[in-house]
Amino acid sequence: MPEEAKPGKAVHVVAVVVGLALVVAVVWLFAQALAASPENPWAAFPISQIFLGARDAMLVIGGLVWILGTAAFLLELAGYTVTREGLRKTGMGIASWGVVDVALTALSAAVYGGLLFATAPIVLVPGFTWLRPANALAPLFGMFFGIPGCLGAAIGNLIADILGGFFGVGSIGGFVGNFLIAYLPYKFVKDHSFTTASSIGEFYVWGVIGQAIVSAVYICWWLDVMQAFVGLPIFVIWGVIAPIIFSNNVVVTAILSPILGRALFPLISARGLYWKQRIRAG
Amino acid sequence: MLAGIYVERDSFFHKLDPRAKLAWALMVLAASMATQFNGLKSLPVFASVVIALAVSGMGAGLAALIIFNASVFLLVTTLVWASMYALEGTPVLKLGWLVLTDVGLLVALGKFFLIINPVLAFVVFFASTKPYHVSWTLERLGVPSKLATAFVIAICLLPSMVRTARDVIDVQRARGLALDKGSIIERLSKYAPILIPLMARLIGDVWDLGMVLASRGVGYAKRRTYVFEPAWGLRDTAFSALTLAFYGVIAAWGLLL
Repeated sequence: MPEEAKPGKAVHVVAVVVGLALVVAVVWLFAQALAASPENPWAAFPISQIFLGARDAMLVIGGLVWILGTAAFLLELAGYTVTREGLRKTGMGIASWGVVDVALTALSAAVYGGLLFATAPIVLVPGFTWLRPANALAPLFGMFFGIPGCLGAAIGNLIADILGGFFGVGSIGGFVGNFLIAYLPYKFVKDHSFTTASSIGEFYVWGVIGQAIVSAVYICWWLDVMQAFVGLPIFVIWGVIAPIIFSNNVVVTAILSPILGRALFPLISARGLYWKQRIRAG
Repeated sequence: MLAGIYVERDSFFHKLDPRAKLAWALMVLAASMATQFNGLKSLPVFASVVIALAVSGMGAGLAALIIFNASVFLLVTTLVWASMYALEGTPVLKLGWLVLTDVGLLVALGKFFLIINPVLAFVVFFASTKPYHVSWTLERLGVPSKLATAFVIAICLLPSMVRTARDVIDVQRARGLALDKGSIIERLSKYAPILIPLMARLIGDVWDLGMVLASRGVGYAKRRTYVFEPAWGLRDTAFSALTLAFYGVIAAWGLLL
């Protein structure tokens, strides 16, 4: 990006304020909905109403997100990325992987899957989703480890699905959806150090708000299209699962990920595991 | 460390081709999906996976433990799904605002089996198939060699990673970390002292694991070669035909009747 086109510090501060305000709003609105309708808080939860009310639009937007997300997923695995100048080789496709990339993917998946297993006992909708503080790691895997980290998040989620009782047709959407949670901040956040205003501001745009919307729409569009196999009512897909994915991802990544990122980036960088260092070395 | 959840036995399931076992696990999933709205119809699927667990040498004890642990799912599925179907069927029980009907209970039981049946089937698959052969099976299905290797290593490391995560949680609790106290935001921020040590372990292990993989020649050839390759035999054909017929009939029963 040319120097004169860079957004100012105020824009980044606004992004952080909006992200944190969203967290407060999500928690407060859900508490209000729970107080108003304890037997079915989702019916009174405004985010559920937004997703449900805009279901027709969501089907169109979700279709576009699905096509773009799946195309990005396949292209990146093949070692290409879309830029303003067109398709470019990244050097991070599976065919170019070295042993460190394989190790990073495996260990990211094991840590992510293990944490989903060990720290997420609260099931909200049986068979589909649950509260996950471990989600805070997914954007960091992408930002720190690149495509191997993005795939680690996807595989970790798949393993947790298989061994946790959540495996099904929906897991295909969950696999690519989790890849995208890590991919968006990897692709669009320029500075991954969490030490500057632009780094944190851009993270709140892509790693908090952007990934939460994209993953909720991507996964729920897939569940809606596959409804005959999944067997979930539309109300559950857009009125319960979509707000849970969105709320979980916003709250968890806005609060935890910047703390973790600030603490972990120097360690990862010192060990030579940051993806930009490895690409340069390669 | 890299044995994962594989258990060495000389059972019928251990002798099967991994492709036949994977197809069986996917058939269990498909039959459970087809019968998810009627728990009675998915009961034979559940019985078949418990038998498989016993036949694979894992023992009925492990099955009982998994089922006991899964009873919390049964409770939650009953509360969620039975309340969703409170207006359909004949009421069986009323607990305040919660009305349990016969239809709601059948759906809740079906959703419970939808969770537990595939878990048991995949436990049988991973516990009776060497990681080496899981990787071979994935490659046969077209998964790139390096991705299959990463997946299998992740599966193998999972038990030790879960243990480590629980150890870190216990240690931090012993030092005064109260994960269950405070607002949602406070409770979430308390996970930082748990996630940072785990990530530090990951960072420490990457180069070691990379060297192990390099010493084994991972990535030097486009496709990995295997010394011991499973061979599809008559037993695998007979097993696959029988399971296809069994789960096919149950799935048709669930979908059509």
